[in-house]
Amino acid sequence: MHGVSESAILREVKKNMNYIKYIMAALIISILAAGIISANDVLRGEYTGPFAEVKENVQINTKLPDVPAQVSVLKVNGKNFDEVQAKKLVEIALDIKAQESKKLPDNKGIALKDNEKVVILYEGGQMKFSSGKELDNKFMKSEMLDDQAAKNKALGHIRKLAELDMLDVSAVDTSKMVVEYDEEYISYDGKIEKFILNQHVNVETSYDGMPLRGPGAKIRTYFGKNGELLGILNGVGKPVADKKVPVISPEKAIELLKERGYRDVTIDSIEFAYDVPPTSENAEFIYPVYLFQGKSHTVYGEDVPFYTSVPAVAK
Amino acid sequence: MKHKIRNNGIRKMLASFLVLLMLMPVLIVQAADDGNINEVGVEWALDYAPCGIGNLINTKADAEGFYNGLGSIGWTKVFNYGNGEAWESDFEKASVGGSDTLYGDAVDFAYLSGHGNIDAFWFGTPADGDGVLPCRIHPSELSWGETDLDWIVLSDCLTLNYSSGGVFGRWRPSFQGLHLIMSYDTTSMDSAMGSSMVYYMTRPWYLGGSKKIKDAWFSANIDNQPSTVWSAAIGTCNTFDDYLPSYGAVGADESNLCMAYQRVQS
Repeated sequence: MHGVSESAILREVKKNMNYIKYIMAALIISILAAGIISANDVLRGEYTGPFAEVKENVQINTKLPDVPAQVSVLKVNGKNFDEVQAKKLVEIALDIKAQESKKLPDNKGIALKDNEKVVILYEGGQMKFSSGKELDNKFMKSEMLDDQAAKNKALGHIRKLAELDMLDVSAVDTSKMVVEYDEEYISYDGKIEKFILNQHVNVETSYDGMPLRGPGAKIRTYFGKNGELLGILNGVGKPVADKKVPVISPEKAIELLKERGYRDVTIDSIEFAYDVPPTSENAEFIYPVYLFQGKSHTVYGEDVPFYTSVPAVAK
Repeated sequence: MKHKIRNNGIRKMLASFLVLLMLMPVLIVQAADDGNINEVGVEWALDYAPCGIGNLINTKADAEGFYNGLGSIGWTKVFNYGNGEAWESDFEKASVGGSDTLYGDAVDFAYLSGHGNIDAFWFGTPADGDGVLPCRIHPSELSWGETDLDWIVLSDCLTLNYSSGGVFGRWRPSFQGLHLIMSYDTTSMDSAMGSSMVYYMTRPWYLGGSKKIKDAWFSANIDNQPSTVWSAAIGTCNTFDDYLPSYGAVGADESNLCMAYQRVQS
């Protein structure tokens, strides 16, 4: 310390204080940030209240369906296509000469490929065909087939699949074919322009008069410009009746819905139907369900819609 | 004198290093755009009793299928909150008491699964930032993409209902760097689409190759929803055709002046 003036020492201390302030400020900021995140995470957990007070008020705006005491569970008959059979089938059904084929994982089925075109034949006998461009176009409606021509063309594909034993023609109600359009809208500079992505034809399906619903119940044909075939979904395959099971009443189904918290609701529709699972699940059986659609009335004055199912098989 | 200068230099370096070290948690969470790190966060609600709405069955499987699917291809799994742990404030902007910069907007891809209506996605608990719109996130409370968020799925009913073009007015202000929102034009069924969506975004070549993010959402819905349900997507025009990073092109963040919307039957 000899030879160093007092003022030099003070300057040194001041400089160090500046660094300390700098470090302290950073430390406080980081502790605060880490604190907010940690506090948020620590506070998370089961909600303990207060709970919204819901008065039971179930309004039914529809007629309850007439339901038999028993219905058949449906069995999905497997096809077990080998590669040769599969290639032959898609050539007849879709005029596709598959260049490549590959078994799907877990023996779910077989995929066949011809450039961009892909056909998947599932073990349950369902089929999915895609040209690779069913969602990737921008058409004007004037470029599409008129509705009746689209229905006729879809019917031709359905008949071909029926001839190949890929669907049960008695399950298809050709009087209930509906033409739909997937759409795109562009909003720019205060204007909205509309385009068509594809035109597709849906067919209602049923078994022994009971509707087939759910993701796997679709029979659909996609068309592009001037009726170019873009895709086919045959989710149904050829189900057959298996054992009969007792079913619960619609009143009991509504009670089960209430037990799931749907207590202040308006039920707009109740349908007794078969719920066909997604094709990729390769489900062996198809079961009956009650399908409910309606609105939950929240305590905040806004309605929240619901669309849910209740199993119909009595335990 | 030389000794003094060297000491000052060392002090400055040491101080800077300490500051950087201490700021690491803030920098990690508040990464404005963390470039190549792909992060995913999901929230879901099965139990709606706190908000007085009916319960759901498949939302956990829906969101976690997506979370684990992206995790399995190398994405960083940042948060997976359900029921009482899923907070609406995680997705709301700071000006309404939210903390989106720490959660919803701090990941690249978010997936919410629960109830919804035309005006909001509904959570199972009233964890609202400012208490004005409890149990839900309303478009007026949202400002997404300012930090990191590029794509979000709102797996709920009606949120992207077209409403004669009203969807653009409702959702345009939420796009502040966000690329795409995927949801439904109609009421949707309580089903699990998440893992199927990841499959289509990353699909192997022999099954047709990877799909654009929005098309993967549509295909997952065609596979898993009944035909009465129409799925939908809205996005800025140059990012509407985004692929998942490493599976195709991704557009740069842009203004919300030009917006595109699609509705597709499931």
